[in-house]
Amino acid sequence: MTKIRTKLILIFLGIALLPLVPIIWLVNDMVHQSYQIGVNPQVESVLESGVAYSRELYQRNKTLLSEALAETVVNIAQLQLPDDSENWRFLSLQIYDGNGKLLAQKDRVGAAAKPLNASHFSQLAETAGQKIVFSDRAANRFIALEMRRQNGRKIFVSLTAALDENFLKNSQHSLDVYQLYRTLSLSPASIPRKFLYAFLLLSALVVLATVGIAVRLSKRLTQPIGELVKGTQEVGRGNLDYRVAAQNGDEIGELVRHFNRMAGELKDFQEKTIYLEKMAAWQEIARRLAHEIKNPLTPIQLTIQEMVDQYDGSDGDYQQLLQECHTIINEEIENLRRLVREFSDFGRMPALQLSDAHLPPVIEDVRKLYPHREIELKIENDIPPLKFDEDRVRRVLINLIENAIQADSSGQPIIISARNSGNFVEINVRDRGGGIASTLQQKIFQPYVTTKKQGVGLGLAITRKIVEEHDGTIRVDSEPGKGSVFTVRLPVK
Amino acid sequence: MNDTLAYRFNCANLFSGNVRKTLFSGLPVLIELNARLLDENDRLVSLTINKYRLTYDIWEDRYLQENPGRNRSFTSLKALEKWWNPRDSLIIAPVKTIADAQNLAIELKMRIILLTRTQGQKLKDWVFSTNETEENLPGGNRDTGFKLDLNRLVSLFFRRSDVIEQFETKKNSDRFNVTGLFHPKKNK
Repeated sequence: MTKIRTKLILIFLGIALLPLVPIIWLVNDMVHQSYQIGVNPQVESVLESGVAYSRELYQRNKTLLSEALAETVVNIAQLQLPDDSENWRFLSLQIYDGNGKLLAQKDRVGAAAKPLNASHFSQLAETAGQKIVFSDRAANRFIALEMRRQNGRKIFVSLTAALDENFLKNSQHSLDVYQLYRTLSLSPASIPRKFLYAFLLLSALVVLATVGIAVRLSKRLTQPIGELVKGTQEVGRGNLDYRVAAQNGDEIGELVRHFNRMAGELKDFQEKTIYLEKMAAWQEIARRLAHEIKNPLTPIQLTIQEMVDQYDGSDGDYQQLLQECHTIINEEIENLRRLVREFSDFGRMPALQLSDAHLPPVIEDVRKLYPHREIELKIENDIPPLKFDEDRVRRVLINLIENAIQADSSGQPIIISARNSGNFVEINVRDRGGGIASTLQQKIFQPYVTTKKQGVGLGLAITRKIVEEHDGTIRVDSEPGKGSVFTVRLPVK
Repeated sequence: MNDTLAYRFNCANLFSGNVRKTLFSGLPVLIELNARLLDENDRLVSLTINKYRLTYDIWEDRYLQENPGRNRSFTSLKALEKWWNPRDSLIIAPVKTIADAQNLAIELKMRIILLTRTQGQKLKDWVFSTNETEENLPGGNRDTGFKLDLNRLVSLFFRRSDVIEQFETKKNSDRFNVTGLFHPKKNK
């Protein structure tokens, strides 16, 4: 079964893998194409432009801050913050002397600015111009610092401001996206490959599941075949009692059922053959026995008769004894003759004379042979005509009825029923006698097996032989103390 | 003898192509200079590693170079390029430690990392963020209860080292002796 199972698994695997190959190719192509939709020179150009535009706006805003400071007139006695512009929110205005010492400061409510340190002034000094803008994007603090001359004195003026949060956020976002794009474009094959690997992993799981299902299915399919193989081996070895476990209703299940039926029929045929062979042997013995016993009976009878006839009767006592012996010998010879007849009948049984006939009239006729015993008939109306030997079937019925009468001395009616069961006609003969012990039920149809004090035990053996010659069956169902039912099944041909 | 052996090298067009693009996008570029002084049997005599982290501040239009011990700021790419060409006075070893060595050679390995792990992690986070790559379900009534997190599955194939984009180059100097360096005519 391993070969079939392996083949089935390979077939399943092939079925699973075959469509997978073009699908993998397709998925690979699609992933790469999808990737290229997002990562291509056009997108890069747009992102670059976006960042450049944001940067330009940012620089322009810084210039605007510087200009706003330039336009701010400062008066130490009365410092005034300029009005907020579109993008700038001014937070603090500070004035320093030429040494960087804070002279005056005007803060927006809730936004106090720290004084500038020496580094700020030195950076201004490093530039060629007189103004500078310090940026702290993270804190959103921008400081414009300018050197002025007021009344001949050098002073520094600083204006601290915050840029529009949305602008900062959006410009940073555009940069982040651009950087992400750059990162993606630096490893163009990496990301699609990961998705392809993920697909392959999923596919592998599907293939694995397919193999699992294939193993399970193939096992389910091949297991009954394996059992059938074992069954044929057992039957081949002569074990006709071996049966394969029942399967479901598919073709294999049907095969199993047919196999079991075949094994059963084989067993029945074997048993029947053995039985018929045994019967043939018993018949041969009976015929020879009858012949050997029958031949000397007449000379014995004539001799004893001669002895009785020749005696002159001078001795009355002896003559009486002679008469008594003569009577006993004659009785025994008659018994032997009856026995010989039975043996002879059993041994002689001629071939069946089959003809189409109806069974119910035969049963009716047989009942009439027993006017002194009540026999109840239950014959259904749909009994079809059968092909049978009328005399033999009559004998079967007589044997069964006589057995029933002898078994049931209570005088209760013997019940004979007949019904059509499809391929067979079933005849039951029921008595309410003492029943048959279960150990004897198997042997009762064998020759010379009897439960009666008188009789040689050939009746049921002959009955079975007649039934089996008709391709029928006979069985007994008996319960000690409750009676027996003999069931004869004759085929409808 | 407090002299030191140092090297200089030229790297033309260092800031071009992907390096330039990466720099201009504001992403950091890492440059690692690995100088190995080898003796005549190619055994390692000395090793010096110099690492530089270059970034371009897009908003303030200035270049920052971070190097352990000293940071520099450049106002233009030209200024940065000038600093790198030629790269000078990169110390390898004190002369006294190698004075007697013959047939020395310098093996210079330059590694440029364009995609750092940090940036790689950002990319990974972005790729595996459901909002970025997964479509929403078409409708709640079509939800079967089965949910496959494709991103999580894909992440199985991501390793930190995967996303590092780098390249490197290696150059070897001619063989030299320390004494020859002081008398170049005698030892060419």
